[in-house]
Amino acid sequence: MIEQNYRTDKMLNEEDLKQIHESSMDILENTGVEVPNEKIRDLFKENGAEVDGDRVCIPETLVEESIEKAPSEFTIYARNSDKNVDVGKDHAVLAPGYGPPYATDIDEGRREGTFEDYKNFAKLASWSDHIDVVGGIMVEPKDIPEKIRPQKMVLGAAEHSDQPVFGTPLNKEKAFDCIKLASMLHGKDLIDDKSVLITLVNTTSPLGWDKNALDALMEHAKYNQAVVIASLIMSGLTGPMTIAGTLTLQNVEVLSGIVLTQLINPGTPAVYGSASTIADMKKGNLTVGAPEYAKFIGATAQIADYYDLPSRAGGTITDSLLGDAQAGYESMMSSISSVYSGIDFVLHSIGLLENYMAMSYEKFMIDNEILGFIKNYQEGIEVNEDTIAKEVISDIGPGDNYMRHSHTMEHMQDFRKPELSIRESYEPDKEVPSTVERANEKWKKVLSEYDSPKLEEGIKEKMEDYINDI
Amino acid sequence: MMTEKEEILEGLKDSVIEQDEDKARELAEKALDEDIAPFSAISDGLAKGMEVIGDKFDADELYLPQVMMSADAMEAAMEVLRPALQEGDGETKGTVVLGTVEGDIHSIGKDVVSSMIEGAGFRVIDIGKDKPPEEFVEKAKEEAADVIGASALMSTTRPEQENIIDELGDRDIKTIFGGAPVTEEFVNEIGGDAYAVDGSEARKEVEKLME
Repeated sequence: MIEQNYRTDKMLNEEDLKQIHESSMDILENTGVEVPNEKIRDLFKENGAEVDGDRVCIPETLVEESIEKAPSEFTIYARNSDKNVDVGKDHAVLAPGYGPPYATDIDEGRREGTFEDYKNFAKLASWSDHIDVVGGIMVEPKDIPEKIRPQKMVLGAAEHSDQPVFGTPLNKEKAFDCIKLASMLHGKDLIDDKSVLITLVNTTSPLGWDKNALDALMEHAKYNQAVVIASLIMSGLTGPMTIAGTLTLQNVEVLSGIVLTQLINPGTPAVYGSASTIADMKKGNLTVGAPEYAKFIGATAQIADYYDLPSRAGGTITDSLLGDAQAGYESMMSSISSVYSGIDFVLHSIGLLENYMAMSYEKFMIDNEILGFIKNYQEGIEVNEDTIAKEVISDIGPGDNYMRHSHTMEHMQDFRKPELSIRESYEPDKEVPSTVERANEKWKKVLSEYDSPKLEEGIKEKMEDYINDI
Repeated sequence: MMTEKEEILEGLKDSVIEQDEDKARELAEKALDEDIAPFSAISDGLAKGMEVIGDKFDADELYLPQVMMSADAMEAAMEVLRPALQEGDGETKGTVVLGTVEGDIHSIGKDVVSSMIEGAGFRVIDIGKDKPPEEFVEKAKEEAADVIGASALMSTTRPEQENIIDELGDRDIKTIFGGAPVTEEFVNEIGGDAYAVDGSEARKEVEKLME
């Protein structure tokens, strides 16, 4: 978690926001979105939307009423109540990378993810001082049958972390199982009065929804479990070739999902999410390391604020294929933009390489350092009589140095100590390992020393039994 | 001095490079009027233009939408030439059945591949997105296809590519696979014939498969 004390939230001005809002309302009401689920279409219709075939046109009044019901902040409950997380306050809640099919490190190279990798990343995420929510597809454990993969991921995360759980709702059944398993962590059969997990549901751009995504969204709303509703539009491919147009299309799609959560169950925690960005128009590739993406992040925070909804965008992400300088500068830019612009929930905060394709052990450690830098910056400067040190300055006077002063002794440990960066001087005969090599050493050390927080007696067995019965 | 036929073929090539659908259509009609074999109009005219476009794309000199527009110009001419082709005047380079696998609604990559392969003079039957293995194979049988191409964007839908191979059995139809989570290693593992990372590669790989 990183406090957001110094925000740069002026990517859009009031007139910009108004234009995007009004255009979105027009599109929602007159063009509508495609909803491939009859039950949901009926629900929309009962509440005043116009339905024609699969198309649902949502009037502005219904959008406004629904947004009113959605909470502007909420809590996700952890099995260890000290680790409960508030979303929507003046801090960024951070979650690890989500979705990569590959794991990679500099010893073994890039390979399909396994459950072993998954558990390792659960340990590393739990070890990190910055990550608040653990789970989701930190890496896809390909050695687990697809039928029980999301369920095993909840167990794998919960076994090694006592933080709130991130679910993987690939369809209705899997969404339900994840909710059920997260409830078991709290010693309950099925919790529906507070969020014990949060999950991600995406729209299908442009202006559509996938059947399974809708089912999962319904399941979450039914049990009052938090859900991030996000669009991943690629400007020029699945959205207009402009940032403003893509933001508008995104607004239409995400708001249609937010309205739906509130129609199913008013008060369901719903996060306004975005992973929209530009595509590289020469190759048609998704591009997350571009400066344009940082603008999407800032604008998304403002648009979500406009509706008084918690926001999700950004991460510590890069297009780079390896843990090099490009990975570093792009990740720092996306991470800074996410925190400084006031994004409430930052998925993909740690570990990812090559956009969302690979979870890297070394990048995990590098991102942890990046987050440490940003946290330190956001802590700001303490200004008071002691820190201004007027008397110390007079004591020392001109010409002398401050090294032996008691004030120096008192404060010399105040500054952040680097965990990965080096500040040594050059020596001709000394070999300096690269950042990635140091990160390699570091993750191995962390894993070898990590102690998983114990699960209460019997809970793991109960969860395993449930999964075995699927 | 170019003969009139050469001029028409050169014009067809240029119409593709210039992304000019009207010019492509007009010249295709003119080619038929002048008794140019449709197959020659395609391979000595249109496909030559797509070759230039493909090379420029590989060299990062073009934007993807420009490639799509060139492919559209080619397709406009193909619409004129195709009926004549079916009269047995010649053949296309081969038939490819293309689609996105079952459970997967991501179609942009597949659409690009479709344009690129079509642009190289193949007949492409695009069956769309979220299609079960049976439909790929049924369509391939129906159209006497030489190659089945299937795209998968999600690691959860990637296994469907293997299901297509299973469904194919020992039929003499080649397979090519692609999509973000798909690798050459994976395609080898499931027994596919070719892998391509993008549309331009797919065009080259399909040509190799037809050799």
